[in-house]
Amino acid sequence: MTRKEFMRNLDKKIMNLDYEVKMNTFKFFEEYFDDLNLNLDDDIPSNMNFDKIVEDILKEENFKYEENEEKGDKEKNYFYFNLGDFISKNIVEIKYESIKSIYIKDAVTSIIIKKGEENKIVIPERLEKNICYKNNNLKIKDISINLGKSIEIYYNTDELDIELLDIVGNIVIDIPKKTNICLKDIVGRLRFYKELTLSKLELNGVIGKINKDDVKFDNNLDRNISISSVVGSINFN
Amino acid sequence: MQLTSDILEFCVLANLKKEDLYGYLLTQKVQEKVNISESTLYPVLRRLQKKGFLITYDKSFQGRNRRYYKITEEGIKELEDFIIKWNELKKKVESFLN
Repeated sequence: MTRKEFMRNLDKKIMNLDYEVKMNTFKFFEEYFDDLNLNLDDDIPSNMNFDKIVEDILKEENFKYEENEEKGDKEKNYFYFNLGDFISKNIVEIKYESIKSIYIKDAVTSIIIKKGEENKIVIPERLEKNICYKNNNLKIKDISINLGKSIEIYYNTDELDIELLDIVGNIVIDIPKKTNICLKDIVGRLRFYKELTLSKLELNGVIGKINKDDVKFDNNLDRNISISSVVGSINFN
Repeated sequence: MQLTSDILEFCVLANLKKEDLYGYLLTQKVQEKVNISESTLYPVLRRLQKKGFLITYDKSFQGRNRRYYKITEEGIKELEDFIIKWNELKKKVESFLN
């Protein structure tokens, strides 16, 4: 198993633990692999038993760990509060006249924010209740979608502020022309693209590779990005 | 013969009483003396932290943060109690063996 596979699988297995526990666990192993000088595609040490690690972590957190060998599906024995995504195809598109800001907090999901023809969000129907839209500000809190799935937000404006806090999942952002983007406490890969000339870029507490070779700076623009406490790679390309 | 997780906790505390250590180095230090797998220590550290026997802090290292583990006063007291009990137990066991 490679480092990348280990972290991805760990993410799946402990997804329902408390946020702080998850962050600390990811941090421990990311740091451990860094100290072993392992790249993402390098194999982890042969005496690291992934199943045993997960079992010990879940036991320590009083989380039920059982294997269903008969069905060969261990994941079903975890408490997946987002099981609905497996059986439901009820994805809704909610359109808005205008979006001035996007705020998402406490989410276990991948998030895609990109320029489109309309202002809209594509999300499982059951999560509609977690969205608050007021005065052109879109707020979403406490959502969880199965790994591999994402929520998509499209904006049709040149000015848009984005704030994403406490997210476990990958994030892709098509950078708006005028924006203040603030990302904090993220476990996942971040990708920013298209408008890569920024007025300001702040990066603090990032555990992972940062590729910002394509970023240029122009103080006359109003395009600021602040990123802090991230476990995962960051790409601007 | 394998160490029980209780005893492993005290091996960790004994190492941390000498100096603050980060995960990888702590594992190396324990592995020098007992045979544990690479990943055994994380749940042990988590447990000791929950019991209030150690705390963590981050320190910058080559552009990234390293999390250090530091024994607390309660941890030191627990370790000292363990050492007394361990010596008593050792004497008793040795009396059978000798």
